[in-house]
Amino acid sequence: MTTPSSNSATSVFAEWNLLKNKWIYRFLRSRWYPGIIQWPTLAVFVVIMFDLMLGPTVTHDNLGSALTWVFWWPIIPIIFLFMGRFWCAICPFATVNDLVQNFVGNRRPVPRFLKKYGVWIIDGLFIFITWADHVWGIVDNPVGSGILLLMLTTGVVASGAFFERRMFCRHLCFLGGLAGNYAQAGMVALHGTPEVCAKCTTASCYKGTETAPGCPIFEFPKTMQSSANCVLCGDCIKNCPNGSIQLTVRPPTKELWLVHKPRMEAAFLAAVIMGIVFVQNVTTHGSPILTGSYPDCISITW
Amino acid sequence: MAQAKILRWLLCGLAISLLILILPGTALAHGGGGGTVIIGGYQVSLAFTEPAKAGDNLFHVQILDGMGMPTRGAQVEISAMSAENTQPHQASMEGMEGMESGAHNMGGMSGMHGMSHAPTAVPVRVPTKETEAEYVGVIAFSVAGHWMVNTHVSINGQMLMADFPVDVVGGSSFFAIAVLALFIGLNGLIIWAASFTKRKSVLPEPTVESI
Repeated sequence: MTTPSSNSATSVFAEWNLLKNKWIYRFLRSRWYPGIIQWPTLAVFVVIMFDLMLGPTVTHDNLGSALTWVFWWPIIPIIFLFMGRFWCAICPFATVNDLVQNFVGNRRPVPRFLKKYGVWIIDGLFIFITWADHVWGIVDNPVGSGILLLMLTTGVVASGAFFERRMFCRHLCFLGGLAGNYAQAGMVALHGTPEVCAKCTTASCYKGTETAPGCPIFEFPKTMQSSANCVLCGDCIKNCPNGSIQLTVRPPTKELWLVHKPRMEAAFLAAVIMGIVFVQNVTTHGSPILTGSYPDCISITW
Repeated sequence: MAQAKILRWLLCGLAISLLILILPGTALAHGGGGGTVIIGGYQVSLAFTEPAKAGDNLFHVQILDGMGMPTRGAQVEISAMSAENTQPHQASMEGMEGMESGAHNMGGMSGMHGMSHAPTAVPVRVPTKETEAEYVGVIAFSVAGHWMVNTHVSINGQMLMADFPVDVVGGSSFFAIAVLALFIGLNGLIIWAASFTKRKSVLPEPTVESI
């Protein structure tokens, strides 16, 4: 078994390479990770779905609404900040995608237009869902919330059934788009060790091995410059024969100061999030700053 | 083999999930509300014979005087307003069976939707059995949710008003079941189509350079 590289030239916080901790390293390489978290999450998701659709119609009494909008939704940005896109590794939609893919997956390549315009579609979806929440009150309506989740599930099933890897998560998931933006400000970063990767000719992290599949989000740690699309699934850690992968801790927002290739669509989404949160707080809830009052409900934006 | 194992685990998980689902559903499947308010020296109580639900609900209003004796001959009106959405009256009331031609049934009065918050009550018929001294009626809640039932009591020219919060539960709607059925059908179709067109990976084996 290889051990994580001790090379620390690439990060100020490289001495905090979490993979140097043997327990973390063993856990992430274990075949139990991320399944041990992923499958219970899927079970909870199924409960939530049923409760949203068939449970109490009063929002305050609906367990699904409470778990989704009161517990999970507010906590998710905090997870992004501290653990990057870790949620995406255990997301029930991703599990459904993998499950369908294992059974009936056609594994077709991602359509070119999705590679090119996927983020813009995510931007549009985010705006549409926010608008739909304003108009139809998705958060305040358990069935509405359920329908939103069912629609996303259908998209994920179609993606898993016909396309390779986690096409939906990478190119269409609106939460994934948000997560990508937040993850760049996150405190953990996974990347390869350049000196080790330079000598590698196997690309096991991308292609996969018998141990684990290749990167589900189409990332190549050797050239990965950003944490935006790393979900910390641990597959590359399992696959790398050279122990090149590092999981380092860094100051929050550090990556944002070192963006090599700014992307218009990502910047647009960040601006949209900021704008929607601001407008929603001022118009829907009054002005908490002026009134000193707390919002009386949770909206779909942060 | 591995797929069969995964499938078994999946079925176990679904079974457990359904079991868990039933428990909170059962615990939450109560409605009700009402209670007792002391106002103007009278004790006004509102009770539903069954947990309040979307649709028609039989309720009882009891009025006791300062001595704890039932008060008869009062004019009792009742109205309801959704407390959750602060929408005006969406509930309606109808007289008890036995009411003569004046029996009111305002269920489904869509015109009420935009009315002001003014009470839109219908008098409840005073029971013929004076010993019971209860005021009984039927109120229809249009949707599930938190409601505020406003009771307007007139006793010897004295007007008393008492508000009672009521949680109205709703059963699984046909709409939700239809959506679920559509979801299952659509996803079944997708999976069937995928299994039909399944073929070996069309991806060329990537090389380091191509990545």
